[in-house]
Formats: sequence, structure tokens, C-alpha cells
Amino acid sequence: MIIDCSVLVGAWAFRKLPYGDARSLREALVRAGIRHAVAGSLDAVLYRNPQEGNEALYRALEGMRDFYTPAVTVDPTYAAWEKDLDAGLKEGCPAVRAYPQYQGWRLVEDRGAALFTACAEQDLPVILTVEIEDPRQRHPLDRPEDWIGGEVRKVVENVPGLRIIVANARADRIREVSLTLGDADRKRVWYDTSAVWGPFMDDLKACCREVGAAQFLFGSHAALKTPEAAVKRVELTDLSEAEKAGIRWENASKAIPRLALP
Amino acid sequence: MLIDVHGHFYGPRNNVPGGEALNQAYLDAARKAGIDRIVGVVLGTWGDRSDTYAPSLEDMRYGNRFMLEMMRSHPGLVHGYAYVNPALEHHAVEELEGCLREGMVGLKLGAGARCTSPLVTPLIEWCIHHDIPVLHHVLQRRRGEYPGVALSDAADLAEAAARFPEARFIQAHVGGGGDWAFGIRAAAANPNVYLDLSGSGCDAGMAEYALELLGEDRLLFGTDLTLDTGVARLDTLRHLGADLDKVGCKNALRVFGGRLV
Repeated sequence: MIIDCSVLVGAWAFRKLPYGDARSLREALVRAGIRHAVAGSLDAVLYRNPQEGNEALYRALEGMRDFYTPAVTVDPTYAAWEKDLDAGLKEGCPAVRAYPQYQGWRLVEDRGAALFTACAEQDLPVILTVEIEDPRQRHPLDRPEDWIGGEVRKVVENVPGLRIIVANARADRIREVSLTLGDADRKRVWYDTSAVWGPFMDDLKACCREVGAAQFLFGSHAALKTPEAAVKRVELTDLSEAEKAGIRWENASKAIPRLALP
Repeated sequence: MLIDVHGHFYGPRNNVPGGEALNQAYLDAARKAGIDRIVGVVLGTWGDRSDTYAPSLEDMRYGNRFMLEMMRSHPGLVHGYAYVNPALEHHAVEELEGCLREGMVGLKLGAGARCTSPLVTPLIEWCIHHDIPVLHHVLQRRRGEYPGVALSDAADLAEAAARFPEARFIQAHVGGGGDWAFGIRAAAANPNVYLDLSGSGCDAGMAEYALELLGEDRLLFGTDLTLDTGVARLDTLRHLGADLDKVGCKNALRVFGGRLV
């Protein structure tokens, strides 16, 4: 079984996606062997008011909640963001997505702290995405602020009980967060597999050895990336079958405690 | 049969994390993925003594000697590209001649000179005369210059391909970073440009667009540094109904003129 902890449903302003709507994305994910997906709104990344993206996501997933679980997108600098979080909880969202590089705030600001504290109290992990697209291919107008791994470390240290999922991170980004944390804090941060190099360089194996395989979750970053690559990466990596099972689905319940599978 | 047209090997002297042990890791992963033929290249000392994409004379020769060792250690499985730096002028041509005499099957160019440079002309003419393909490293779309190298992008390669219609070019790693849609559109312009499907990038839509614009006769399976993404691209093409026998094997046999049998 594979649970995809990081998919995005919707449109991206800078290129056409072959499966941007929930139904065609589900077909692509199922075809690749994925049984369940935690989906955020891609529209909400660039919307000034992310709740418009969340509401479109909830509507898009109607009738497909056996396959999808929504993740609510929150901008803690936007008026009444707490209502978006509450609405997400009512919709059964087990995780929160935030995009400080696109939303214009920094992880270490007080505004972020309020969101992180609320998420820790509700047992909601916060999914932070290192990059939506590879910087080498971005449109000239796609200019997010830089990702600063050290700020993730400060957030984890400052907010007890908070869970963080770092999505779409290459090995160097994973190391700069994980290897600077203390042992206890390190176990509250997970990483999806969507941007880690697989065999034969096999950064996935190297990171699992350095960080711990229990901290890795299957993630495809679809609909921006193809799910086949994420599946092959785990299939071909030089890890034990037990470690692969952890990545494919077992670790998800620890990272996302509210995730209820049908 | 599955042929990887863009494999890499590493001599004892290199500047790559993992070092020479990557050779066995690659061979093991290739076996696991069902790869039957590898056309590989050693990029000099991979940045240890000179630039990976513009190697010194000494490093150019060093890398090619190691590539020949890999070929001899794995006969039938491993074939090789001669990797030369066009900026080294007649030394580059002599190196290419020597490597081909010893059994290499293609030329790999990096960024010692842009592919539109007159420095590259004698090498391409040599490849035309001897009927071997040129695998060219490209950024998909160059938006600036980089110190110490003369990187080509897909538009540059299209210009070179139009100038030398008898040459066969393999445009490297469509997933190697950069605007792959730009790279695919540029490649489509010339029938003598083939697209290698390697690269760590795995954007949705990449394989679809490559198939739509180039067709299944001009796509080549490759792995570069990440075997998983290359293999996954085949899965995507399978779903799209492409002839995987062509993409994975027959096109490469044709491009290499029967030298891989």
C-alpha cells in the first residue's frame, strides 16, 4: 500500500499540468499504485486569500474522499486565518500547508508562531514545501523568497509538540534541517521523498541512514511531478523491505496522527 | 532489450560524493532495472582537477582511459563515449580518434566550447565521416552565462543540428534541469536531434510533450545520475501507448549504427 502524503490539486499559473483536476490526478495516482493521497490546493499557493483555494479543493474532492484527504492551506498573515484553520478541521483536514516563501512572511516571525502553536495544540502537522518548481526552470515572474532551513530548526525548537513535514526537499535541504536538530526534536520532523534522488546516487538511502528511515514519507508532489518517479524511487532504492513499507505507508500515521484511512 | 544511452562512470580520481563506489552502485541498479546495454562516459576527473564540463588535456585523457577499462571489464554490457574538450583543438580530435580505435561508439561533448563554435566543427565532421552520434550536454534554456564554461542550450544545439544535417545529435537529459518544454520544442525542429529521457527532473507533462513533439522514433532511454526517473519515464510512455521497444532499444541501435549489438 502507498499513501501519498503530498499531492496538490488545481492549476499552476506558469505551466499546464496534464492532471490538474482531482479526478484525472486520482487516475494517474492509482495507475502508479497509490491507494490514498493527502491533497492540498495548488491554487491556494498563489491566491491572496487561500481559503478560496481550500473551498474549491473541498468541492473538488466531493465523492472521492475514500481516496483523498484534504490538507488546508493557511496564510497566518491573512485576516481571520484562524477561521480557515477551523473550517479545515471541520472538513477533516489532518494537516496544514503553508507557503511562507510565496505568502510573504518568515517562519521565525510572530505571525508564524501563532499558526504553529495552534497546529501543535490540534496535533496538526504543518507541511512546508521547499520549492514548488525547480529554480532552474521557473518563469521569470515565479520568484519566491529563498528557503532557509535554519528557520525550520528554530520553529521546531521554539514550538513544543509541533510536527513539521518538509516537502519536495533535496538531500542537502534535508540534511541542513535534520542534522542540526537535537535527537528529540529531530523526531518531530518528517521529509517526503518527492525530490530526493534515488538510485544509483541513492540520496534516499543515504538520508535514511543519516536521519532515520522512520522520518521519511512517500510523497510525489503530483500534479506538478509524475507519480511514477516517486514510486520507482522507493521501489529501486537500496533499503530493506521493512524500511520501504515504513516510507510507503506506516510512517504516515506517526507524522499525521489525524489521518483516518477508509 | 533496454539500452541506457546516458550512463556515467567515475575513475578513482573524482570529486563526486560516493566516488568510485558509484560504479558498482550504478551497475547493480541497472541490473535491477533490466538494463542490458550501457553507453557510458567518464567526465574527466569530475571536477577534481579541472572543470567537469571543460576538462584539461590530462583529465580528458584520464577519464577516457578509465572508460576504456570499464568497457573491458564489462564486455557487451558497457560501451563508451569519448569525452573531449573542443577547446583543446587538435588534441581533442586526436583523443576522439584514439578512443574510437579502441572501441568507443560515440562522442560526448560538455561545455568546453559552445556547440555552435568553430572549435566544435572538426569534431562533428569527424563524427559524420565515421558515422557516430554526438551526445551533447545542454541546459534546456540558458538564461545567462556561467564562469569558466561555454554551456550550450537546446536552441544552440538546434542551430548546430541544422548546420550539420548529416550528424546525429543526442540532446542530453530532458529532465536535467531547466525549461524542458523549451528544450523539447527546440529539439523538435531538426530530425537529426534525438532526445535522451534522463535527468533527475520528473515533472508531469514532460514525457507527454516529448512524445507529442518528437514522436516515439526520436526518444532514447537514459539515466544520467538518477536511474529511477529514467525508468519512470518509460512507465509514463507505456501508459501513453508509445512503442517502448523503440524508445528503450531500437532507436538507440539505429543511432549508434549497429555498434551496440
